[in-house]
Amino acid sequence: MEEEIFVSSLVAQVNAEKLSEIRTAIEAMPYAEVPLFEESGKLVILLDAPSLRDLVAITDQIQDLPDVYSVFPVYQHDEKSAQSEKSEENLETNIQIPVVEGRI
Amino acid sequence: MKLSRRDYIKANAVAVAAGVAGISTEGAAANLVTDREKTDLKWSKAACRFCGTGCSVMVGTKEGKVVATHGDVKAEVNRGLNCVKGYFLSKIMYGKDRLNTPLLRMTDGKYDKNGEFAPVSWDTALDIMAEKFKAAIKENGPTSIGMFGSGQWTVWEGYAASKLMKAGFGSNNIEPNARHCMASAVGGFMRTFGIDEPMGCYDDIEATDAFVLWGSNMAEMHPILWTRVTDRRLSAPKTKVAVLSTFEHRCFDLADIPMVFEPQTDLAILNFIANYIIQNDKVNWDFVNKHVNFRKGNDDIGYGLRPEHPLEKKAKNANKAGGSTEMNFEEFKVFVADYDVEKVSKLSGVSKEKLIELAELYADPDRKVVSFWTMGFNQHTRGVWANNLIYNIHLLVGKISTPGNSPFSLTGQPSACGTAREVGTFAHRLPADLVVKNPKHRAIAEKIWKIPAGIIPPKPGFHAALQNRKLKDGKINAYWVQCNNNMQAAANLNEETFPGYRNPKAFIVVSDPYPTVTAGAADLILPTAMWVEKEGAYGNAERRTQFWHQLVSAPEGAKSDLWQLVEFSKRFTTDEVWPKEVLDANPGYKGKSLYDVLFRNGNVEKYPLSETHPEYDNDESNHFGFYIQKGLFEEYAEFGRGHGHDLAPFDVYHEARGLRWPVVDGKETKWRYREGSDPYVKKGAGFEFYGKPDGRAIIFALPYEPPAESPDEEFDLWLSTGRVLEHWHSGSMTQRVPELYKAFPDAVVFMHPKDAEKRKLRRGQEIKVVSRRGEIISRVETRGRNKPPEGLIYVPWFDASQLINKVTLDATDPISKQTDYKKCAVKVVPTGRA
Repeated sequence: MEEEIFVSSLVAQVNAEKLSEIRTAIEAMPYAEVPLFEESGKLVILLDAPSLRDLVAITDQIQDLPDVYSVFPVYQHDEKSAQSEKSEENLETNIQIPVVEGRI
Repeated sequence: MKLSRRDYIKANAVAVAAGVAGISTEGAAANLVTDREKTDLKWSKAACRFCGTGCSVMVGTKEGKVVATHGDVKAEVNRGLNCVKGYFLSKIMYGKDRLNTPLLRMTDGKYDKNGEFAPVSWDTALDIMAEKFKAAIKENGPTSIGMFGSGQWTVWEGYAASKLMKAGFGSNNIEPNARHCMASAVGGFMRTFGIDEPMGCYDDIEATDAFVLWGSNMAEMHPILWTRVTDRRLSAPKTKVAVLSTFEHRCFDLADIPMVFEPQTDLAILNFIANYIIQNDKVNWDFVNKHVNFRKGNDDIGYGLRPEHPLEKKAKNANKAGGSTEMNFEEFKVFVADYDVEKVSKLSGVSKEKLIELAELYADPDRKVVSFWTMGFNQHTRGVWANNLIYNIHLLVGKISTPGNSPFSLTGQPSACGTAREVGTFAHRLPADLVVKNPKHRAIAEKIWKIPAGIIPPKPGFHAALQNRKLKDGKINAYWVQCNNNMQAAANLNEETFPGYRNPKAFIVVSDPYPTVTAGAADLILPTAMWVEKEGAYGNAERRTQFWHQLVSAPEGAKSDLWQLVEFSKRFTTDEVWPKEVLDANPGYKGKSLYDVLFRNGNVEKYPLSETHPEYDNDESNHFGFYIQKGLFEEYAEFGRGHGHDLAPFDVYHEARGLRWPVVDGKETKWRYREGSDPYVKKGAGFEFYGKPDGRAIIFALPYEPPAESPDEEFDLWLSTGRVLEHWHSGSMTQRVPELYKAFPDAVVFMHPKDAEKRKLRRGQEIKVVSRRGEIISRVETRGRNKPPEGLIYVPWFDASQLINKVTLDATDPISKQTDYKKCAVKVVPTGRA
């Protein structure tokens, strides 16, 4: 089976005094790890999720953690298998051309 | 330990993020092996597709598809960062409704303006289009055709389009949507300095002590530059940030001097600052005496509406809007003396203390200051004046062209500068700041283009708002829209744009990757390649020209704008479109195709396919049989080299992360007009504004004048339109990225809670926004990122299901012809539904 890859890396700036708690909280989330950090409160977060939906949801959760000042996305990888692309296409209907209602 | 491809990809993702964050990877986990080759991806640089910041991104492709992106760590502009739009950039090409066949309105197999869209071949599409363009030119002359393009065209696409219209069809009716965006900035530059585009660059951000934002929400519209501003503010505590706007937005979080002012009164605030500088003896006399002239601009110039509109009939100088007369410093001093702090505070609603604090940022000789502005200044019925007035201030104190002292106009589109402005895709322009009405300029263009005299008309063509009016009036009969969504973007859709496009006398062609509302209002839709599906070049707001290679192929059936333009030219001969007297005087041109005259003229086809990069496809060059992008670029560059607009040789840009023009002797120019920094400034001059014959910039006396429309008893609210972080312009790309769509799916009406309460509206309730021209249905938002004052609402325009331009007014700046999207009068009423 072809590999599906949804990988993302983020840079976060957090309250340096809460660094340890925040690292623990992120590491406790599914699909997330903190491979690098600095005592000044900068973190590199790596996400490797089974779907794009999970990837986005985890990013949101990290942003919502207390004492996280900013989360900047850096790397984005979205590689679907040909099979899943096809199944998505099957869900699509025909192209819709929008109609503007206006006065002539 | 055996590492998988996934491991390498993850290691690469961490390494890139570490580089951006400035975190050392030493001592990191042992499996941080950053061998990019093992990720099985091909990485290439490209300029971001969205705003005018000009971020560089690294694009990872696999098996003909873009699968990964990250900010380019080697790029000076963004230093590895991306905003949320740039982060999801790879997905803009993969919306499920990409168009892949031309679609023509037909009934019973034949073109019918009232027919339904049906697929046709490219040959059929271009043939019917040629038939309609030829018929229009034959019956009503070259002013009856038109083209509306974009600051999103690549440099060579815009150049080819402008050349096809002006040198091929002999029509100046070509405009970019940059008219909606940057025209007032251009007007300001040309009037004050005689040359377009900023003198400074982004390096000013790290060199300054103060930022003043005039009608610019950088936090959402230019987030990467805002990050740099924030870093400067936080790392250099002396730095001050002043934010002026007609409503509170995200930039106010960082503001030391936040100011919400009454719409249009920015003009009075600007004059107050000039007055304050003079009254407090803070004029830099050495600078002013050597480098500045004073002039009084014409006032009472109207509002760029149709000539029969009562406001135009009433205006004294509607036909002489750009005129001015000489004056001296003493007269200027008397002129601005009228704008004292009492009067301006009362007019603007800003406290006297804050006005003085703001003026001090400029007046204090020990403080460097950068002024940033975007649509708050430019989309303004006095937009050129606003631009002139901010230059007045910088010039009075000599805070210009030195690191950290910079009046800086930011741009909204990726190549508003590089294409729309520099290439000259406006109705009055030619490349490199040349203009059609100047016979010497036309002669230069004719020489470079190798066409006979008499093809380029001396009269400027119809500007953007006028094109829609002329379509409605039946004066433009064949019209081609590329690379923009003007049905959604142009003001007063109900009264001008829609009736124009659907006028039976007009044949409308729209080239787009996606079925936009503009495409829906067309007669023929051409499916178009986008971004890295073609080799491209953009020029950003700091004069930086950036290139990328074609990285993937477009969906089968979609063709680039360049391919479309050049293929179209094959369908015309000079005999069909050039004046008989010109051909009689130059018989050698008779019977030639426009393709031969314009694109096989000895310049454009000069570079063989062997010069294209062996590792990248180039679909257009392969089709035409020569390196067409290089030929077009090198011909275009001839206009500016040696004239202050020097571009480097073509191949250099494929290697560099962009270069800021003028590029002279291989060196870019960071600050123009200053000796030692700009090679065009004469030795001993110190500063030289060489766009003006005497090297002096102009300080203009220009008054406060009221807006075209203000709230009254019935239409009791101001309406300002604009953007949101997640969506770019009309949303035709970002609305197709699921993550961005979900983040901000529908437009809302940002409103002060008291205004909602007064109308008995609750947050989230369905309402109508109504003006004299039209209405939309939306929902109330009383919280969130934008906080309007009482009396003003803010509505973003990205949402095709809520076309706010049905409501807006098509009043324009009479000098720049740019529409004011920030001020008209509306009312908000409940629909009666929840």
